[in-house]
Amino acid sequence: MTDSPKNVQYLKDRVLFSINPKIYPLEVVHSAAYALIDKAYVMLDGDPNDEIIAELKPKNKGEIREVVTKFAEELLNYAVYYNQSRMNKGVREMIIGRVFSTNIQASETTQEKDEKCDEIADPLGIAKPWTPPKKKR
Amino acid sequence: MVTSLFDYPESPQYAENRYIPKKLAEGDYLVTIDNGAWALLSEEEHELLKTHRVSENPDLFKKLESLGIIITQSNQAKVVGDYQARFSHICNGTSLHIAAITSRCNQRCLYCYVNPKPISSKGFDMDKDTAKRVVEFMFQSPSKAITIEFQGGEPLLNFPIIQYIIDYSKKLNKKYKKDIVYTLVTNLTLMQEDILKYLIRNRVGICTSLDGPKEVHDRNRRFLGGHGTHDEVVHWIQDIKTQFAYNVNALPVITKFSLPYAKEIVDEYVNLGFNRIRIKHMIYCGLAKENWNKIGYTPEQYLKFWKGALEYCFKINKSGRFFAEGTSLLITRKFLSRDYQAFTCLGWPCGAALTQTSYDPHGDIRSCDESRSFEEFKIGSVRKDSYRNVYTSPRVLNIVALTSGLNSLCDACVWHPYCNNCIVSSFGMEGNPVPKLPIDYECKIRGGLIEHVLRTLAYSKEKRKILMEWCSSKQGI
Repeated sequence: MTDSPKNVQYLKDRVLFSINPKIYPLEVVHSAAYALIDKAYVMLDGDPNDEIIAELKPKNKGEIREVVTKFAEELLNYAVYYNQSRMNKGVREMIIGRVFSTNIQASETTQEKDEKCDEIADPLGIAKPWTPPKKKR
Repeated sequence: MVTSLFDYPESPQYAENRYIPKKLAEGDYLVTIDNGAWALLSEEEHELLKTHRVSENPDLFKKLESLGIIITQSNQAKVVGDYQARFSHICNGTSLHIAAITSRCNQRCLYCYVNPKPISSKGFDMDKDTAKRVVEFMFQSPSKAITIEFQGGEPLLNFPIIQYIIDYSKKLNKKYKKDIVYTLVTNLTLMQEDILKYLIRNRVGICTSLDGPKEVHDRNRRFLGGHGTHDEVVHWIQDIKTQFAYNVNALPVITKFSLPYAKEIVDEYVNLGFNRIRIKHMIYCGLAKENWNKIGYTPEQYLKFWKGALEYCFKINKSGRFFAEGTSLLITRKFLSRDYQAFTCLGWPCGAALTQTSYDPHGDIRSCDESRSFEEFKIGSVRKDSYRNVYTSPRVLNIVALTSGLNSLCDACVWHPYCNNCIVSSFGMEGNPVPKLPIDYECKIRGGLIEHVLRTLAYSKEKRKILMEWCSSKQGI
């Protein structure tokens, strides 16, 4: 496997993926591993301060490279997600705080409908889009 | 020198709301925020958003500001109002009260999500004393609007209790002055003219199941004796609609047997004079769980079926006949309206233990109707608990927290503002209410439905127009 990145070691039916926790913290590794459970068995090991090892065993034979690529993508995906969440945390808390500290504009006569029975017509006539019209590109 | 995405300085003119992006197609990025506002951005616009340089493009700035994707001094109050409108259901109290007044049923449908008892069984009907307590519990809800839905088993097997609940709730309502709607979910096979006249007199909405043409319906929905119920159901639908000029609603539940019949199922509804159909997939509990090997399908198989049926509905509309598909209609409304859509599923948090509750014949309270086959979702009893005790209990708060998706990776999904995980389905599948999202049946189906509607809205002018027409009609979902 000459073209393999140096942090990926291919074994017979599995692969060892070494992760630098300074680049991808443990919460990111957990999320990326979780996102993979439909495709692979994932076992985590190592030291969260030094090196995290993810052992990936594909559930379907022949998908070992796909699993590695997907894991790398998910690491990046959740790194961005957690960074973004941290960055927006204050804004999100501000909005939710104000939502609950001011009067809720509740539509008190809304009749809830369920899976089996939904005969009640929409009384609100809500087909007015609230997104602005899209400009032609 | 800028070395990574996160080294770009934040703009002093605005703060970004928490958004989730998804690349929909080459050059098109979808961005959604918690309250359901969304924008489709070009590659260049997305680049400006993620590098905090929206101010460089005044049109983009204005667009994202109006949607609340960026927060400025001038849009804060609007954004808060938008969130309040979208999450009004959190503060309104329980409005949908499902009274399962009997567990007995004269049918044994293959996918029933409860475990119905044979018609001759004793001890499975709600009695008057329990019914009285159920009604009194319902009226403790702070919700101004109350829907009382009669369910079973087959509720017409305990018709006197329907009459009692209607009478007693009307009596209590002289004091409480709530807006009450009554609905009955019935298989129609025990309907009689005098019962029907009573229902019409009391404005009770009637909902039934019709799984399509005879060859499909009769495989799924059978009497205890084994023969199909299609003829009786169609007879009563026609009678109610024509002889009595009263509205009746029906929906098909899709099993493996239904999959080759998308067109025929839609045609059955068109031919019976309905102007909409809401196609429904099975929930993995009750008899459906028991029969899954025989009737089950994968999420991919179901989505293929649903997309085919939806396409056929579009085709009917193109020929000039109004005929709506309810699931896509609901999802479209979620995309196009800032308001909460009063439908108990597909919301975060969902209606379980929040906007809906279910009462079994013995007065036990469940978080939602679908959860009736699991003891784990019992949240109290009308015999010993008050509304306040039930709805402030740790169990209820845990259920609401679970369906919010905030403590799972639902929160990181671009479809989360229009969706939720179904704890009952997860519990049925995995024995755990916490879903394993990447392999979760409901997650795959719901995500697939929502993405398909969004792609239709975004990329098909003709179908978008049809979806908008469905939305602007006065049809229910």
